[in-house]
Amino acid sequence: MDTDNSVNLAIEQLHRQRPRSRFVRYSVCLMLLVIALSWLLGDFFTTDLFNGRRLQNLQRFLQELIPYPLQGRAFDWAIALDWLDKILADRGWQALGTTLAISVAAIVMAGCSSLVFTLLAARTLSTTEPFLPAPLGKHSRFKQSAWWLVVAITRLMLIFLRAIPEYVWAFLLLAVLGISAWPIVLALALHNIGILGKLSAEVVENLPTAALASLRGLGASRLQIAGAAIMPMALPRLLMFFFYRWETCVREATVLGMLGFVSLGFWIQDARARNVYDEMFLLIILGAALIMGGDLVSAIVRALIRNNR
Amino acid sequence: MIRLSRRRWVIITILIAGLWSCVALDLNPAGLAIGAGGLGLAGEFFTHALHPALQYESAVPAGTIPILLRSLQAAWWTLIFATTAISLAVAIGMLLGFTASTAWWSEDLTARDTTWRRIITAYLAPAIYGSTRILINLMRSIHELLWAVLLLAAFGIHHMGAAIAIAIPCGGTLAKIFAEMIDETPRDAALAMRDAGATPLQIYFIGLLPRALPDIAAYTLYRFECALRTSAVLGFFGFPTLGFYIAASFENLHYAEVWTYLYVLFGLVALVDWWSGKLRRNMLLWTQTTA
Amino acid sequence: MLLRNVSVRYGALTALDSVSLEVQAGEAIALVGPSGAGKTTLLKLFNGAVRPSTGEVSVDGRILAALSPAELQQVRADTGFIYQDLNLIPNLRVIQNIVTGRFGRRSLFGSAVDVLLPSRSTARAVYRVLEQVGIEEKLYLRTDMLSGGQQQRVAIARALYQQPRALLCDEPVASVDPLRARAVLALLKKLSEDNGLTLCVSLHHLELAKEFFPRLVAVRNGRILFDKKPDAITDQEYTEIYRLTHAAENNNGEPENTHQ
Repeated sequence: MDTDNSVNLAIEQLHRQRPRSRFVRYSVCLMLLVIALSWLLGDFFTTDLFNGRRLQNLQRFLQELIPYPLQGRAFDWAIALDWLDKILADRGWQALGTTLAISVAAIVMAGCSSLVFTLLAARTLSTTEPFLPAPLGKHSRFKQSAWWLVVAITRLMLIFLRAIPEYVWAFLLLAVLGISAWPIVLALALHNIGILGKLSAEVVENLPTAALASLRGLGASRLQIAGAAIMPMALPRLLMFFFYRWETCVREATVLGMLGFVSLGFWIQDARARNVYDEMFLLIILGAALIMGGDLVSAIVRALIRNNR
Repeated sequence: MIRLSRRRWVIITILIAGLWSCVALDLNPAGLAIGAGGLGLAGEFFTHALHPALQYESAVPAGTIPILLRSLQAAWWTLIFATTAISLAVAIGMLLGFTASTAWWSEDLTARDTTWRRIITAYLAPAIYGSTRILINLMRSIHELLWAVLLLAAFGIHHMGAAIAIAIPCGGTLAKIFAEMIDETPRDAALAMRDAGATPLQIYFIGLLPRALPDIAAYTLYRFECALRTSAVLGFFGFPTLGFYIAASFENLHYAEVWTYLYVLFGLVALVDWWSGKLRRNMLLWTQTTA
Repeated sequence: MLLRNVSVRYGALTALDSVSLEVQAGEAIALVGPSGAGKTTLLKLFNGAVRPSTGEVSVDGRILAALSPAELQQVRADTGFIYQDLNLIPNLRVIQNIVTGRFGRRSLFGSAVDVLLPSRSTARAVYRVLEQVGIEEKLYLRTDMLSGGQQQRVAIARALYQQPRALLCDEPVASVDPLRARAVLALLKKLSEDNGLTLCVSLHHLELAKEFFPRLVAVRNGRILFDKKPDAITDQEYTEIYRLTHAAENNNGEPENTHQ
């Protein structure tokens, strides 16, 4: 039909002109390509995961997960609880407490320290004239470049702190500081300063500028504005991020002990080295319980903050 | 009794908890005083920061590829493990995210007319929902490295084990976030679809999912960066990623080499960070028409 | 469409109280009244979106409560609803929003195909519907890039795409200036006449209702005040409704919807 044809033509033209992002399309193609290459080139299927020897190994391993005193016997609550009790008393409770303390110390340190970096990295605050139009003239352009440098260096430092995983930080710091709680806590704290600093800087940058500009117009210094206006406004979101990161800190704290400091991770590694898989599995489950407890506390506190002032 | 807002109480509690933890761990500033040995090591280590190794620091077996190539190769392996893990995690996340969400059987979007529908919404779906939530929590509560430890003990070193070890907690987190995001999407368009006669599944996949997709994609990209870092750390356990070479060079006291690998890791993470940021911005405003 | 002695109660709140209304096929009526009077609830009864607490709703002589789920779905698919908030998906393209209108008649797979890879005939059908509302060149644009008025026309097009037998519009001109309001109402009237649809529009602007609709049903506090042709309305009734609708507007600045 004639009208059908003209409609078809119109549709095709509109289709060709439709808004789309070249970058997004190419990125998606690249992603799919990389995923396909990774699966094909990654030696995932070259050796058989379930060949004879591995299956035997697996079977043996699963057997060894059963608590030692119960292996080969009928299940008995008394024996199981006794075995559980011994491990808990000997190392379990202490390990859990230490791990929890590590996570809290690290996140509190990170939270307090990141405030400084947040203020330095927030582009709205770290300029010649925060919240007000930029002044002209050669002198102020020099000042502006200096501020830009401050922001750039701070952000670069934050990226570096974030990019290195906590495990690697801990590894390096243990060599320098010797075996104590400090390397572990510092490693967690440094990494999280990088993350909290960046997230908080974004929150500060996205604050509505009207009130802040008027404060600046009255002559307040950057520090005064930060304390009186920025912190109160940004605080709810910052607290949310704080608790999200705490949940991650608890998770990391359960494994960082594997590098040598006596905590949950240490005993897990210890059990693994001794091939005592039932204890290792129990400790892993204890870690999971600690994490789930931490998640619960975090969720409750976050709900409290959200619903009320 | 001073009346403080809840927020203030929370902050006070946080500070007290922090202080208590420091005391419990014997964290005093004295502990930061690095002994002579440590100071020397730190000094040596940091002086190499500006001179990362461009060649191996000691004799290497004939035929070993130059260090820069090896670091790139390690970076490639890091990327491989991360992408396979995230692809598995997305699959897990989509599946479990569906069963863990309430949107496809919730009251305002499902008509409880047929008996089959009534059985599903009253008994079957809540049961699936509950068990999925428990499963997801278990998956998320064991660290990737601990999954790796378990899989290593069970199967020995196998690349699939590394991918699965990262994918399980990652997939669990993705599932939880997917379900939350979809459940919290505004349901106005979905209600319109319901009034026009669409089925709950149609409403879920086309009324709710596309609306939540930008946020879901953004979170998945963030998780990919996490997977990248975990993949690097798996090198400490024997897999051929950057962590392996960092540990090896450090133990041999080849600090310049360590910095080479650290810089490559930093570059990889920064590159992915830049790319994902650009992708997120572009997804938000695809207004450009192609020439 | 017929409402017989219908009451709708939400707990202690009575939205509608013993309302009876009959609308013939092809008729165009306006529901007038202040916000919260129950106009939206009335419209939703015709759609099957709201169930009456007492009384019965019937369409084409069939009581809705007695229909099987499949038949009820058919009735819903046959009724087009245009919401005050439009209820479109903002980050989808216009064509994708419109095809959701026929989901009641498509399978899950079919609806996915329609959204991701619409066939040529689907695109043609959507184009034709957009032509009727006048924004066919926006076919592939993202819905949130359109102005408010254009988005409203997308919502209207979506309802038209359903190939309905009735068109229900909830406060289409509530926050629109008089010139645009006239254009929208004229469009609605034209579409319903061209396609032979029954048209029910809820308004709170009495003059506009009188201008465009041959039959006005005034609603106040969940009851029908009158149901007449515009010239048959007595001065007293007119003043009453006028006072109510304008008082509500002046009190709140902007009319609000108490129940959706």
